Amino acid sequence: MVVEHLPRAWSEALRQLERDVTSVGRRALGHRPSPLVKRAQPQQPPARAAIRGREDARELVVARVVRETTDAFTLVLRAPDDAPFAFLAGQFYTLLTPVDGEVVPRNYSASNAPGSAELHLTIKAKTGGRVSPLLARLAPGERVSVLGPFGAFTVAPRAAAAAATSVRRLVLVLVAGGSGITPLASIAAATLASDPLAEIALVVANRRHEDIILAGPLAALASAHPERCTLVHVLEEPPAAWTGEVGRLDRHTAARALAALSLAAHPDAAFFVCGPDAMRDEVLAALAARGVAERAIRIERFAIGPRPQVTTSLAAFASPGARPLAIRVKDRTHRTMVLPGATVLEAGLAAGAAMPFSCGVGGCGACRVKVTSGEVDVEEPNCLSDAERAAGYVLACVGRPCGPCSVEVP
Amino acid sequence: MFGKKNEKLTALLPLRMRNQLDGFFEAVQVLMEIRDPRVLASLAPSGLRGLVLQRGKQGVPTKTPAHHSAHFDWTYPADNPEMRALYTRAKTGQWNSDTTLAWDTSVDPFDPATPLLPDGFLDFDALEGHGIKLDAKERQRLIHSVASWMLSQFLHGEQGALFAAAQVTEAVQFFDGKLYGATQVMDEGRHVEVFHRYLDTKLEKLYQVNDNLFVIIDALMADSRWDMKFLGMQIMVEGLALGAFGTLYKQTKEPLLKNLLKYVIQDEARHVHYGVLALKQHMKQLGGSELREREDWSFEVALLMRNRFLAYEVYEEWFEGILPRDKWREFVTHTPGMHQFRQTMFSRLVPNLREIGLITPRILPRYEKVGLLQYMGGLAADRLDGDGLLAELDRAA
Repeated sequence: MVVEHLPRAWSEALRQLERDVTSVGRRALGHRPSPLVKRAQPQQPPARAAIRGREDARELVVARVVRETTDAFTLVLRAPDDAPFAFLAGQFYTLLTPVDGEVVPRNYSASNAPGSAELHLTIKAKTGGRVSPLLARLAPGERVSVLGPFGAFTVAPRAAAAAATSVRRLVLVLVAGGSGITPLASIAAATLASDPLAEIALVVANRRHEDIILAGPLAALASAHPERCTLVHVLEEPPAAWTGEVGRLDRHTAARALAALSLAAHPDAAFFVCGPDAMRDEVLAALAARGVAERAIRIERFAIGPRPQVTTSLAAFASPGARPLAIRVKDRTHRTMVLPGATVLEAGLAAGAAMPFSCGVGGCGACRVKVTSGEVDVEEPNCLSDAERAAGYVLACVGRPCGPCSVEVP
Repeated sequence: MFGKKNEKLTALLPLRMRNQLDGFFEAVQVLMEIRDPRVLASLAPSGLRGLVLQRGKQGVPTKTPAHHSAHFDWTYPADNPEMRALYTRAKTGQWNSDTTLAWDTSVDPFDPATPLLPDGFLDFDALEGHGIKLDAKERQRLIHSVASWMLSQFLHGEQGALFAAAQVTEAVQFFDGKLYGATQVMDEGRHVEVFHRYLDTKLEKLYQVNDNLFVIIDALMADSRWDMKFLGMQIMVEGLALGAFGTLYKQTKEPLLKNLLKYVIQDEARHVHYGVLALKQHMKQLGGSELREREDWSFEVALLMRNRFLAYEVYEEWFEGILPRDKWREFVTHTPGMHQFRQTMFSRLVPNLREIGLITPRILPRYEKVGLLQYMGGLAADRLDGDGLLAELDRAA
């Protein structure tokens, strides 16, 4: 279109003119605009009662389920009124799934770009998991409850805006391991679509070729933007005739892959890393060795996965610095020990206490518990209100016992 | 005269075409009624954008250019004790919408024990006279639509007020006024928040901005003169809001909405008071033609608000194709709730215009002719605070 080559002010004026002419023209033909504003995210009244403190849960409709690999699939969801989804690329939603009369929350990143009428949640099924096998069997037309979006693993809007208006371009190097690709796929798609100057390199590590999640959409993205999107696959067990990078994504492989990318040496490059903890630490080590400043690196904190592995109660009991913790859930009290640095939630879940939680980063309030004795240090900032603080509530996901203490799940 | 002629001609046309022409004729008529050429010149572009191009309904955010100057003063003078006092009052009057209002109230718009608006708000007999008979359930749904429409327009008005308050804070030359203005910006932000939250989570409905409301907002956002912004926003739109909020406050039996309006009214009382304080002195200094322009402008805008706030969006949703647009206009104009809404609105607006000095002997006959003179005796905003206002409304209820 000619419009795209005009100065911004002109093209905006032309677009406005086009809208004006359309508006008058449509009216002359007897079509008037709808009297109602399409509301972005209508809230659904039901399904709330079961979910403590979650007035903002809403229902979405399953449009289809796309199989990605043998154990990963994408839930394609739509709002009941087909309103577009407003989230920031890189954010996640909390799916609330009823399992045996209990609502179980799980966090899944959106893997498509925001702004469309579809929300793609790409999920890696866990063998023996409680929730993901149920989700994999959802049929089109069935409904699910979600909270969100949550999370700050996003390209800061300010940085994006600055990049759009100044000579500095947005340069992103995205490093994914396994299912860590989901938020990065969304970031890549959204950035390439919204910022015509942005450049992106994607390093995607997997064990085998058939394990690559979203392989099709990633390849399509790279071929749609050949000058601005570089896609590098790293495989641990490559097939015959594989010409790409080979190896487990440790610091050496990561260093090799980064050295081969010209974008990684760009002075404005921002690095986004998402994947299993071990891989993440290795990539961070490789970045540190290249002298990349910490502020240029963003990592996704899968702080609370479905099964936190930070603390096992056994290890805690044996550790000298561990603190006794009692967690009262309904009529039952769980007694456990908390390692220094571990959160109340991690320790509680490891001890088998049925503690509610969602975002895992102190942002949603789902995991709030009341301290009945002792002291719990809560990371700031968080979403607790003054009234909640005064009443002795803390957030289990970012709260760490300072000494022996007891808490109560409300 | 213009309207009668076109009515005869268009009666022969199919209903859909007749409605379209009615809309266009009405837009032209609004502009033709303006006598002062300068007022016409300042309102016509906004009229074009709002009534003809329907910029507010194009489904994309609207960009409105502004041309005012920000007025800096590096000496920070204490230049207006009354505004300073208002600033102090506004600081202590701040309220947190999350904790002040009981958002966990379950709102059932169709519960006869807590009706949003009383049954008598709409004259269903008159509607039957036009051949439309609604059963009890449909009546409730129509009332729900009208309440949602009114609240939607308040919300859109508050968005205008939010931006205008920010502009006015930049442009005003009283430094104490700037400090006060900052609190008003916060107030308006809170109002946008609470109205939107109520509509979105309780009534679950949001109407598009009314074309005539868009015209007023557009006109005063684009006007480069600070006093016109003041006049438009602080006196006219806030006056309209006070009238509308007052009507609804008096009539609604829904406890969350009533409480929400109670808090909003107390904020709004400060806003109008500020407008009167700022403009009273200013208008005295203005000379002949400048003052005349402002007299005419406020009269025209008052008329625009009285005659054109006609819930066409509800008509389009409910009766398009069943009832001619001009018949709906007749129905809404005479229906008791809207009548009362105009009463309350002008009983606030006219005393304020008088107080500022914009109802001079020159313009008085025009007010008299359209029946607005009966409101001259009321108290202006600088003599009436939020509590006084609420007490008056409670007495009337």
